[in-house]
Amino acid sequence: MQVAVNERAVVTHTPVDVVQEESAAAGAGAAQDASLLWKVWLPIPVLLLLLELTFHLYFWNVPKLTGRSADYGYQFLLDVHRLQQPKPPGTVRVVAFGSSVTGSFDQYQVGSLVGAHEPDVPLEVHRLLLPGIKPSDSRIFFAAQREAIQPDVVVLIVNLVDFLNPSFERDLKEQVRYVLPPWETLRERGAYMTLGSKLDLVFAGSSDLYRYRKLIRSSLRDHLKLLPRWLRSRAARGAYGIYPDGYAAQRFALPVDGAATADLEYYVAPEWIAQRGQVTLRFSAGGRVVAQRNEDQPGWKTIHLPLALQHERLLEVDADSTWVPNASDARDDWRLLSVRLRQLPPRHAKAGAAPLRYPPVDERQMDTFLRFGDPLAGSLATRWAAMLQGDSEFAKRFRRYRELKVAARNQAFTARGEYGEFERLVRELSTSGTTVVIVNSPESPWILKDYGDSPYYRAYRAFFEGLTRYSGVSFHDLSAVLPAEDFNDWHHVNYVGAVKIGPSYAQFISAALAARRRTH
Amino acid sequence: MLFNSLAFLVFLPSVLIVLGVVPRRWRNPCLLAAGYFFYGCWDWRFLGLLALSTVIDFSAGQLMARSVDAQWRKLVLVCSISANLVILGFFKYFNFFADSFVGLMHWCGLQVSAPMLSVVLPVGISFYTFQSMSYAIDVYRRATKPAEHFLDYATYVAYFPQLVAGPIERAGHLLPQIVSPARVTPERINIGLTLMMLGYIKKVLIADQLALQVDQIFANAGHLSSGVLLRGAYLFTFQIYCDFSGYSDIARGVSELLGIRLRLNFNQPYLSQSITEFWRRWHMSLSAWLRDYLYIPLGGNRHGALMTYRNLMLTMLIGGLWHGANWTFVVWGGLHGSYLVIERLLGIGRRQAPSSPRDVAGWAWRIVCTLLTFHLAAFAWIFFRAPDFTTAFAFISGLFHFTHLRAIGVVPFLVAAAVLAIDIPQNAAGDHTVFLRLPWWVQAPAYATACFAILLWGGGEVPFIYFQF
Repeated sequence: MQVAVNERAVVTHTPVDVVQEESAAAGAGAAQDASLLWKVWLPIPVLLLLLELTFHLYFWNVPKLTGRSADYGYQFLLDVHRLQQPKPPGTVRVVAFGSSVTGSFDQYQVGSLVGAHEPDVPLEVHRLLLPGIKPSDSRIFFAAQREAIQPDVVVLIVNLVDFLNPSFERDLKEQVRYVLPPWETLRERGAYMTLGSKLDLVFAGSSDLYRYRKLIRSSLRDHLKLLPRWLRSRAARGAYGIYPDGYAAQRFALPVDGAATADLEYYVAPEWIAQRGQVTLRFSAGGRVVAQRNEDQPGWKTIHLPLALQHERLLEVDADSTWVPNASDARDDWRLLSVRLRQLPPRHAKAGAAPLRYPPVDERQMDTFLRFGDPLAGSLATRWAAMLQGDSEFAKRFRRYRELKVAARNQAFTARGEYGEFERLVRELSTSGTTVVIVNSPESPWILKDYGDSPYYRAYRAFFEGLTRYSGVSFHDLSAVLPAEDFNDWHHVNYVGAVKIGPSYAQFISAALAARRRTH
Repeated sequence: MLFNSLAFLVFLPSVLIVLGVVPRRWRNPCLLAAGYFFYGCWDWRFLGLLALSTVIDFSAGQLMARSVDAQWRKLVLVCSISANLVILGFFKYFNFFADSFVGLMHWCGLQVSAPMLSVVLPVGISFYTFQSMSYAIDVYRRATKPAEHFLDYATYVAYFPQLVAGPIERAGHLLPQIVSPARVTPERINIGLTLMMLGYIKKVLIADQLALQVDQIFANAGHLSSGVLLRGAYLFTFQIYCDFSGYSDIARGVSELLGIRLRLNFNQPYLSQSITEFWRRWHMSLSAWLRDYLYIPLGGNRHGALMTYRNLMLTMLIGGLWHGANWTFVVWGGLHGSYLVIERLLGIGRRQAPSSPRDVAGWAWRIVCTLLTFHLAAFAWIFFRAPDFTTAFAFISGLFHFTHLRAIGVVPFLVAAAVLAIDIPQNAAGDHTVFLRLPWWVQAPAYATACFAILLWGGGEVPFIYFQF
């Protein structure tokens, strides 16, 4: 503090005053030109207004660089935006919707399986997943967006944990705040909000730049991170994506060394067809697609590829999906595989990883969300049992989920609160002519044994059964279909679990489509 | 209401529009209403406290102004100061002193208990109480004229740009401007908007972005490597500067838009070459307050070296306690008091400019002094930030293990570069609005980008650190 100066001097004229007067004088001198006001400050609101008005023209066209499991809110909004585009005439649109348990629904797998069984039906299968979203939030979402996204079939994937929310009217979680339509949310929940929260939603409803600022931030940050990586690695220098046993990853490349043509022999595993129904392989050289194959039968295949330009060094192959050995038999093989090759490239021709592309993430790949760490190490069930008993935030959170669920077993079941909201959602969808498939998602046997036979859980399942009284509504219970090793925790399946129950989802959708055809 | 809140984004234009259209005589009632609304947004129950403080000091001023009886005037002043200190003590320090008393008795082997109050600390109480007290003291000293109208005085106390976190204004400076504010010219608007922009950049783009990392490091101080702790210490040093000086800049900028010039509160303190200079540049309005109303009345430097050291230490200890009811703040103040005493003992503390641009040794010495001062301040901030002594000592102990120093990372250096990019031009020009001298085609895109970034990174409404004081 200014205590170390001679006070007699400063009482009359303090250094503070000197600095202040100097600053003021200099500041005034610098700001004499009043035109600065118009040249410097006026363009700012004009520019922001321009960015605001054109937001939907540019933002959704910028690729999201991270996987589906990174930044769920962003992915959800991106998926919603895609669904808002006009649906091709005659197409049947299936939308799976729900909280994090909806991760068990791989839309590419389910779409492929349903498509293989019903090749004549133009079909789209989508997934809208938002961790933490409650039935009351879902109802707000569909009330505002149903007409825009035009679903024919909605698969509502539920879990007991979604309903254990005693103060649902007041609950507007951070992760759903800007994802739900602001004005509808304000109308529904406004009575329970503080003035600040209301104002926040008013701003979010009025400005996309404000509402989607977290997404813009995320996109800017990811692009900045990617840029140096992309500049360093744009082109492959040798073969990549091939394991020593001949199996290949979803993307792989083989050396062709300037040959005019290439003959390739590859094996499509029956497990792959069983898990995916059909697969598509795309062959390219020098960035140009030279052939595309659709395979729906397993076995060895051959293809003759004209490469056109003789200076190409690599034949690159992309598969639209992968398969997981562990999901089909007892082998401890958790790799994501595509074809098996008859002839391997020489060891010296291998250069390691696939070159980085823009955007770097292939959305068709299995979610990392469902993988939770290195799947090759040890027994998942043992690892996760230990993890859930640990002292980490993750373990604490999941122990709380368990306590919530177990505490519910002795309660009396009443179809109010979130249950009431869920019924309202189903009724509104049914009334609008949408077919609704309700699926009670898988539960780990570790937790299901504690409440699966309780009166509450029986009433819970009976509640969904009761909803089938509405037109076009069906209910399926998958709660007890998977063993503990197919879970990451109490109710989130890992990627093997997802692959295993994909055919069940496909079967439910096929049945719903058949019923829909009968009634329409 | 926070300057970085959406509510303020609506509030400020509304106030500017109302003040622009109402007749002159309605200006101060509107400004007063705005101040009370601004303050009441936190907790309307404390509006009574603000009003009480206003009434006490206005009445004291009137009573002292109408009397020539020195004894009477002194009695009124003592009553006024006591009333203010009772309010401050009750709301801010009661539990602290009661707890400390019990702790002391336990230490002496006596089992006693003291009542603890569950009262919420009224936001900004230290600021407006000090401002109000300074008015009564100045009127007593006849250093300022008493306010003629209660409304003007109430507006002075509840002037919203500086109500909750300063600058702590003197009546002699602010009151005349409240009574007759200057015309709002384009020049003032340019200055105001520039200051606001710099304030928001410091607060939203720097301080708020560091807050989470700093919180995590201080919360886990006992388990982290020296490199990470060093990063935490540096980041908090910048966070508190950008947070508080950012607030002051916004307050000054907003005030310029209202036609009122507030005093400077920060003058690039981390460019100081000594702790003595640091306190001439850091929270200048509080430094000046403590100097004029505490250090000088204690005797200042007029009674020999020992008394000067005592007065310095006392002033800094009380200054530390002003910040918060916790012994860690007292230690923080004590550390700074010790620095000042040592500088006095060694005869350093005066700013030494290099004799010429080619004076390499002069420049090198200047840089060494600046870095040393910065690190002394950064070290003291550990006590300021730590919630208790256990955390502070764990932090310091971990710091001196010198493990994994590379874990400090690049972030502190990037933040330092960003802060210096603002501070060095301001310091060189002696002008906080130096950026207004840049060509408009440089300013416009720079401010537009900053504005866009503030929009993207703002919205979290992270409270200003000094609001708790």
